[in-house]
Amino acid sequence: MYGMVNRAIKDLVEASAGTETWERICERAGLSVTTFSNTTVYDDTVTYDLVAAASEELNLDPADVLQRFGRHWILFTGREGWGPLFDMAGSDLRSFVDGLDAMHARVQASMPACRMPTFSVEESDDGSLLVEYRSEREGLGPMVVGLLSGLAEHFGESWDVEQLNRRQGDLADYFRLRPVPAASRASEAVGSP
Amino acid sequence: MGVLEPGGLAHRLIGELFPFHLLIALDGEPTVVEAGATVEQWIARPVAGELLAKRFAISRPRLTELETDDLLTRRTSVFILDVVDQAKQLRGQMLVLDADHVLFVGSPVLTTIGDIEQIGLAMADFAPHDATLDMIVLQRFAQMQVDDLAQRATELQEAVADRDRFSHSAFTDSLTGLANRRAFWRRCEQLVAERRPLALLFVDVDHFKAVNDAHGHAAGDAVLCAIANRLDAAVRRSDLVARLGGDEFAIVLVGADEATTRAIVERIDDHVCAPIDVDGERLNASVSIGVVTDAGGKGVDELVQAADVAMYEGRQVGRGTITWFVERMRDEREERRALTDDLKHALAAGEVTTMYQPIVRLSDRSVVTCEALARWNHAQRGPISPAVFVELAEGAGLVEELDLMMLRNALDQLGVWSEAHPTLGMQVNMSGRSIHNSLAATVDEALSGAGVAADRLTIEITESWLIRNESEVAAILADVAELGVGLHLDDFGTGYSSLPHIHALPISGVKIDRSFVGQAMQSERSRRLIAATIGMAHSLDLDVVAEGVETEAVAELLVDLGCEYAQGFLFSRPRPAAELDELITHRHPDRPDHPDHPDHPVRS
Repeated sequence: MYGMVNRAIKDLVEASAGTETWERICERAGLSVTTFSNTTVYDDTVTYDLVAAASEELNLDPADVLQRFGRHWILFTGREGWGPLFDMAGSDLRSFVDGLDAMHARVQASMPACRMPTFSVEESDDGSLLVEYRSEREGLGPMVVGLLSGLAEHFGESWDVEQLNRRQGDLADYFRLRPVPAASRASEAVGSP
Repeated sequence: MGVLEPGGLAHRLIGELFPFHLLIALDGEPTVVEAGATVEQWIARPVAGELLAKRFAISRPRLTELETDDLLTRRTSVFILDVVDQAKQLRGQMLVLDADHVLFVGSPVLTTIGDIEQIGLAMADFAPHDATLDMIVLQRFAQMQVDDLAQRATELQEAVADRDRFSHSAFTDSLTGLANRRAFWRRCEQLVAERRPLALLFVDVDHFKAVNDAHGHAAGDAVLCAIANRLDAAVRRSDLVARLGGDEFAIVLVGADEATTRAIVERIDDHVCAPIDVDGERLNASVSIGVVTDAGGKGVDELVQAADVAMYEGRQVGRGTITWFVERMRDEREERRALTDDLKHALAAGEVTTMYQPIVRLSDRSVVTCEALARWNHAQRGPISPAVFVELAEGAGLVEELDLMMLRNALDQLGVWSEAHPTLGMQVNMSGRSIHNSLAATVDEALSGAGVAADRLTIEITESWLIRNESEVAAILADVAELGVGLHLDDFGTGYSSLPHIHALPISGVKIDRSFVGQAMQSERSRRLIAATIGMAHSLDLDVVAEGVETEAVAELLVDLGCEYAQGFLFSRPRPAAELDELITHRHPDRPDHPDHPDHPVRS
């Protein structure tokens, strides 16, 4: 992966737990460096090791770390410097996910080492969305949950994001997004149980 | 318009492939017949049906003049359409449809990612093959690469700075800021490798331990810093001054011949030997310097060792010396080193033995006490002078062991003699290095071990040790005196002979040095000094022992001057204990046959 992904993990950890925690995570991950170049391609194991080390250091489930990272990527890192392109990708969550492949294709023109995932979205009769996610990389489903949640937050929309169990033979991960009723949102807002 | 009939396949395809197309009629003033879906959205004005010139200024790169015919003939040229009154631009080419119509197919010109913010369009408004947005991403990626390079430059600068800091601390003495041992060695090795002529100076601060002891380590550090600055100021820019550690400095004079070296050494001596102000107190400073020169060929170790040997040789004479190395010194040093090793072995093996020299009362020549004296008969070299091996012992840190051995041997022997001579005394020499806080306990333990009363023991100390730390030494000696042990100042007259010392210390007697006694018959001055010493001692109720008495004439003179006790070859040379029994028996008042004994027939 490009170093910008590892830098995003660094940003997330430093913003939430401080620089010393990040340095301990790097040490735990067996890394001799604590900074990454955005445009350098690092082995995927570096990223996986960082996530595992962050999980141990922060006492969080690895899936939780990935989910937080997905949200951070959308709300902070992805927008940093790429904001205009980001804004062009869509005007709401659905159109954005629809346009992700096109955006990734353009990004890949400049960053040929990227192995981009593909996304597609379908709207069901009940108003829910079914997002299909395909990637060469395994185990990043929780990150997609974070990405989708971050997108909803970005567009001011309320979706309940659920990763569906992967069935035998599935080549993709699926995510069900159900609209959160206004009443629910209101009760959440005032902190009702 | 033929193939571009509205609703036709070509019309629909062009609409999808070229969202920014313009269909331009040329049968009159160029007019936009139709615009792509995104054009009007982009410039937020109606375009279709308008004169081309009302909405766009058309040109070709680097050309300002453009004829309408160019639109028809320049089929492979790039045309630029600047939106009138807006900072927007389309770039593309003219496809000729017929004699009266051309189709402009192009795309907005976007040069920065900021331009996208202004464009007000979505990604879907661009044809998938349109590379305009790719260029924007490429620019962004290029900027990221520049940022990465900047970051790496910063990291590289920090790494270099870290290396420099490490290098500085690795080669600099932290106290004085001079080069340290490592830097000095490295520089010398470089000079030696280049076979450059050089002079190497080994500089040792005189009495530095005394400064530390008397004024504290902060004052000691201040003295070292002051001397470091003075040394540095005295040499040339090409020379290197280093602190090797403790109070040792070294200087390498690059390319210096003997005359230059001599001049610099003298300058160093002048610079260093001025008093140093430390917290308002003026401390005297001096250094001892060993000098070695080399025209090239000697190794660094050899040179430093040679300078050290020279400095050490000078120290034997006194402090503040400048000594030039000669090869003989190295041999002597090796000799001393070998002898020191032998001494260690001899002490462990019991080859250093104890001899006893009687001290007699001059009035009747009776033996009242003995001085225990160490003797070393080297297996190969024969007898080694005590002056030599005691000095070696002091230099090698063996003298405490030697003193303790002598104390125990002497007291054990006194214990053996006790039955026959219960009042016989014993005098034992003690080096200044043995005068430490546990001395009283050590002496007490030795007395107990031998079963000897404390008042039968006298410890002899030399004055030179007392000046180091008088108050501390006085307290230690007071503890010893408290046991009942006598204290004599040895070699009195050769050192400081300071009355304050005699006043401050709990001494019970003085021993007049043999150098005065030996001159007593020839030198009126010696006689007067002896007389004055005896007078002074008696006035303070101190015993007086004259050393080195070898003739009857001197003995009689001493009697005349009022001296009570004496030792010397006249009475007996130092002997093993077994050889002294008879002498002690016949000349000791404990014996019934001694004239002083109460049961002596003459007396009774």
